Amino acid sequence: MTPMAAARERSDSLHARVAGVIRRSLRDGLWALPENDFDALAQALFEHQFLSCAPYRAFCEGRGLTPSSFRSADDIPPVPTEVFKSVDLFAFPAEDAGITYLTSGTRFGGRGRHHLRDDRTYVASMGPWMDRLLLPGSGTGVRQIWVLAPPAAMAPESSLSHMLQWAHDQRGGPGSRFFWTPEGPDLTALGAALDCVGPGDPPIVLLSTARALQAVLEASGGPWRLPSGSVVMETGGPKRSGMLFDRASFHQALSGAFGVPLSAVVSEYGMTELGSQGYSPSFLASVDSTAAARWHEPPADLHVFPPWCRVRALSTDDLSILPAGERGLLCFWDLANVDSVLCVLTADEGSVTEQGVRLFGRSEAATPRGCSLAVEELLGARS
Amino acid sequence: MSDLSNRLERLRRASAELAASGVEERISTLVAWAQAWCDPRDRYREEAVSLLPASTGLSPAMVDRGLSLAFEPVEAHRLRAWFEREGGSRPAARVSAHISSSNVFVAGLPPLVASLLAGVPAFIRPPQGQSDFARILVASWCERSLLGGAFLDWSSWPREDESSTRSLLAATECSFLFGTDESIATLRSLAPQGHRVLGFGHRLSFAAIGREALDEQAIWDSTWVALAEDILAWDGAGCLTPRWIFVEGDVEDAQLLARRAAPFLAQVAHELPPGQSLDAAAGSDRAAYLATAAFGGYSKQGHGWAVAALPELNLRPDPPARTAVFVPVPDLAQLPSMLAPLGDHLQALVYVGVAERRESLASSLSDAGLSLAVPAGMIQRPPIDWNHDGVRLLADLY
Repeated sequence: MTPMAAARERSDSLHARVAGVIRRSLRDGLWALPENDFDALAQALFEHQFLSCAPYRAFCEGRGLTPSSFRSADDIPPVPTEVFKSVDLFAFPAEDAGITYLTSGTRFGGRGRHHLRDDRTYVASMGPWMDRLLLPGSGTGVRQIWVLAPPAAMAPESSLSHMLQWAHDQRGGPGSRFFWTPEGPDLTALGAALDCVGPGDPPIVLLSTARALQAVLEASGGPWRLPSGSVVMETGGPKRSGMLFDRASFHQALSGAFGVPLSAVVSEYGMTELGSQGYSPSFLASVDSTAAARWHEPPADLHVFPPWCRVRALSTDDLSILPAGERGLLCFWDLANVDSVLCVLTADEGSVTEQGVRLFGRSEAATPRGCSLAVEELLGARS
Repeated sequence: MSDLSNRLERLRRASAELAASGVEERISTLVAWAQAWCDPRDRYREEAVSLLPASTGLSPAMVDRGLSLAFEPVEAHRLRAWFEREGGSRPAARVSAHISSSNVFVAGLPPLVASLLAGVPAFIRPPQGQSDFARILVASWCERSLLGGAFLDWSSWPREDESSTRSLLAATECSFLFGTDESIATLRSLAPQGHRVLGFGHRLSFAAIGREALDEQAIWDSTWVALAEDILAWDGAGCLTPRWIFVEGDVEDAQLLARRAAPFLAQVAHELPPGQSLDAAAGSDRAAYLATAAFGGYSKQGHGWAVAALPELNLRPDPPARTAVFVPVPDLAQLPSMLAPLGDHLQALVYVGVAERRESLASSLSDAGLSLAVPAGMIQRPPIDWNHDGVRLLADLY
């Protein structure tokens, strides 16, 4: 068997294994996989990625990890999201690349690239977890999915658009629509639609980026009152604001603007480099007594990730795993990343407990004072 | 008259007395003062080591090392030669101002020494929130000055208090300013006509390893330790900390030397630990830089140190602090063109190799601002009479 054929076979097998783990964990109502089960699948994914992605193999060898020295998922060296901008990380033949998601841009310019063979595991992970945390309740077609973000056709490189398109297509009933033009959010149409909403209408699940919702809050119009059972989901935050994002206040404002309980304002945390997403559990806890017992009045910045996505906070000094509750850089071991890299280090600060992941955002590093100017600033000053 | 004005007036009245003292008397005073600071049991030094970590963010070990780096070069023969070369009989300034926003708390010491050597009393305005060193320094001078009198004073006020800054500049004839180019420009705008502003702004330093030293046996362990000390000093802050280490060779040479350097960085980092943990943004940037380097070459990290070997020079992003970044260059003669985007903001060079090549390389970079070229271990302890940034510390007082 050629190496390419072997890589495809490993990939197909692992996609099936991960899909099986996803199905079983959802069936069993798990919030976390047993550690041995997680590590076993992580080991298989790591070996696949090590064998089939040459740059990743060299990186891991440099960090002292090979399949033969693997002891636990904790040993896998994390790949910072920034690396996706400069290195193509995929464990399959290049001609098999079916989808390439691009990030929206980083501090130093350029866009990160996440290559997938196809979206089977992405959807297998994304869909059920969205159902569980954001769309609990019966059936499809009983809600209107309103999206304040580009449809997938307008942003084929956006994993977020892919996710929101899926929600619109697979979970939205009549009245579901996008409020977006090539120029950006269609606030006029959204405002008009909101003005027409009545209490007897089906619930509305408004899916949006935080920035677009900020624009809604700042525009004229409202407040409105969405039908009972409606949810407002925001994702992302202000970029390069230099200030930590006050999510709690933002959620209060959204609750007031749209006339939904605070528990019905949900935060989503995801990124191009990850196959899995996390959601704040407030809405689930408001409709599910078991969840309510687990999460009583959860903070707005708490996110719950699926059992197949382990999260830890790492020390900023040496990237060691911190004890539960301590603040550090959030790192993800995402089993849904079958064909890229399993262990991804973000630039976000947070803490992790059994309750979930608290996201504190990213503060700008202080500029050194005095004469030791950062090269970046020097070059910027001279350009 | 405000307290600040009174104190400045006292210095002006004392200036004649200081100027009338003999230069040998001033040299003896300065050397005795510096030697006291070099004594680990000196109470002022102990107080500085105790207090400065909190305000500077440096570890006690780094504060202690920094004090030695600053005061050890204050030697009688050096001061004498300096005065003979650049001194005079009547300084133009009656009182000098010393304003610093530097993250290296001893950066302002050489111009202070120059001022007192010339017989010019000095007034210090320390960085905001870092007045401890100025206070202790002045107290030690007042107690130990063989000359008697108070020829050194200090005070602190918020940066926004331009009125006090104007008063300081108006009551002095020249000022030594450490800060960003922007802050120096602001202070220039506040200075009265005729006031001489001597600014020390944005600067960068680097290291180079000549081909002649590439043979592993030719780079002694002591050189690696010295280079590690150069990199780790001041937690990577300061304009004298080498940002990159250019290796005259190929990619493999750079990686080989990076691997050689790693254990020495670890060793010195243990002796000179970082003062603070990295915040999330700095930690993330560091992780991204080192991982990117690892994908393209080599990197290794530990607590408070890291090494990286890049395949080529990338001026962006900024190398993380406390990181030895090795970059291959086929011929060091290419450095002036490689570093041209930095303009005239170069400061100093550490060279590992023969002295003749060090001097030759330094000469080729002088137009880019380079004013100091030294062996490993010496960059963070520049000579007390080192003139840089277009400023002649002693001569410009006349």
